[in-house]
Amino acid sequence: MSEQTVSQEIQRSGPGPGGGAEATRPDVVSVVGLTKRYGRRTVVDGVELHLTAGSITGLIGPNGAGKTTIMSMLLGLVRPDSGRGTVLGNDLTRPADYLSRVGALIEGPAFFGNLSGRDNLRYFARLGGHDPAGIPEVLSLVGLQGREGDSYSSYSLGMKQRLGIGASLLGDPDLVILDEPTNGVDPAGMRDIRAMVRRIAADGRTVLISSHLLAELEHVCDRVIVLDQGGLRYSGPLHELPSSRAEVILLRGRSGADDAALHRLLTAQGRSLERRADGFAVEVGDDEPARLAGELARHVIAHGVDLVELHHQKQSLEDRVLDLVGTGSRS
Amino acid sequence: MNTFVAEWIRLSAKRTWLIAIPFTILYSAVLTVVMIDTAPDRANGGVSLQALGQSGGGTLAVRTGVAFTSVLILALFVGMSAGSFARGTWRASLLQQPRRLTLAAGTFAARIAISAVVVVVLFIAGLVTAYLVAPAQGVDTGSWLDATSLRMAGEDYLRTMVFIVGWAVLGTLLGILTRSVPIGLGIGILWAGPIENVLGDRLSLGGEYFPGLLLRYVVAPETAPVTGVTLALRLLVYAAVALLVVSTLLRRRDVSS
Repeated sequence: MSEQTVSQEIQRSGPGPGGGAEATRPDVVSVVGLTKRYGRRTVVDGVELHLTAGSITGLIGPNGAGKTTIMSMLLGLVRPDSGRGTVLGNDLTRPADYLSRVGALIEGPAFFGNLSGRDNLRYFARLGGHDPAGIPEVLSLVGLQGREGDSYSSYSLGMKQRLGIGASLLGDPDLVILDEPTNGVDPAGMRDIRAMVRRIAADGRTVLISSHLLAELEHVCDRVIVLDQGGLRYSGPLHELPSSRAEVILLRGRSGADDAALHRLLTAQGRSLERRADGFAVEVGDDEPARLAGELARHVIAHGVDLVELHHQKQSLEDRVLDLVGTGSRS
Repeated sequence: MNTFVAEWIRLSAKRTWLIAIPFTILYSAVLTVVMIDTAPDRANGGVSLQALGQSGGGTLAVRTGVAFTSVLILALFVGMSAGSFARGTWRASLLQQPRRLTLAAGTFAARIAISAVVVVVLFIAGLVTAYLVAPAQGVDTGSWLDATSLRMAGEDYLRTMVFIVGWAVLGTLLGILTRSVPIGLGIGILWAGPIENVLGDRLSLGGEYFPGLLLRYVVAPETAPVTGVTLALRLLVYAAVALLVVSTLLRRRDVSS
């Protein structure tokens, strides 16, 4: 199959994230051995990267892990020392061939302070040969309608980030690369950006997003790539990210007597039980967490236990990533 | 072409003209008044009352006075090119136009096109000012609009544009080389000021080879120690070297903050 044919095939994916049939979707990005050195320091070391069409992939790692450098190499801003692969079916070493179908926000938003948000988008749209008629839709998507005529220099950091995301959507790209889009954004703004990323991916676009705020990524990504000191530590579905602590259902009775009854009832069922400061933990194992929680609740309540707490507890993305890369920041 | 149009529209915003046009008119008027007011009766070359009274006299003062704007042009182009790296707009622009040389050439051409419009205003303002002040110095303005004068005005305009393009290339080169506005400006002012004007003026070699002095001879050809052909060839060599350096830097350097 010719490169051109492959390139044409790798466009929008049918179902969005979590829509299934992932194995049949082509790789939008497929690179191996990606390496970048600055002098004697290797900042990206033989990384292999595969982004499935229509997926939202989180690029995770401490400061200095190589996240921005990898994104920059995909965008043709930084030249890899070695490595090969394709982006949207085109050779990685020829970014001009595929960048018209890639939108990106990298190393923070960069615009002209004296121009309005709308005029900045017009400038970049003209530069990329995109139809400026799509700008109102982009402004609406990123929630800047009503402020589009204001000078960029008067924008808050959150608005600047939104405009940066807006610029990445010019030309309706198939692949969107967002480097720390929630940097400096308040909690409400983060929620908005999270929703924005979901909307971007809902059209079948492939999204690669990096963030220090792992909880943010946990809410939007279906796949993660974990990096540390330039090396790849994990790449795959978020739910398969190795966990050092077992997934549990946590139960707590109202009184000491209730807790004692809980202990007796669950032990009698032959369940592996752990006493914790905040209650009893029952390992989920291969069971379905929601089904198990319901079964446990029904059983103990039927035996007169006054249950005040029951919840599904699993190791957070942050904990799992820290298990992989350690706790030290290298910035 | 997209790059040229985008940069042209960005730069030709109403605010730019509201600042550039009044400043250019004022600058041109002051320059012309000073040049005419201080002109000697006669001189071997340059601005004199005798030369002002001949065909081409209307634009002579402003064309010669443009030589004083070298540092201003240099600073503007260093600021624009280095500023685009410092602000990150170069990086953001590359995401839309990944062909680096196309992006650089298109934006440079748009900036020169804007300069060309400003120079038209500069010349018109200079001519009008000269008409107003020259008679008081006893200069006959009768031949300022004859066919020879119009041809000479065209030539003066082209010489001025060559001068501007030359300094613009130097400023852009410095901006791309340093990627820092303060460092680029520091080096540029040091070169265009003390090195070119003090050292270059004292050394015969400097007068014949320093790029800034060669560019000065373009707008003041009467003072040139080299022939027009030599001047053109040397400037072309400098331009070729600058283009080679710029294209190498743009193609090979990584773009990161």
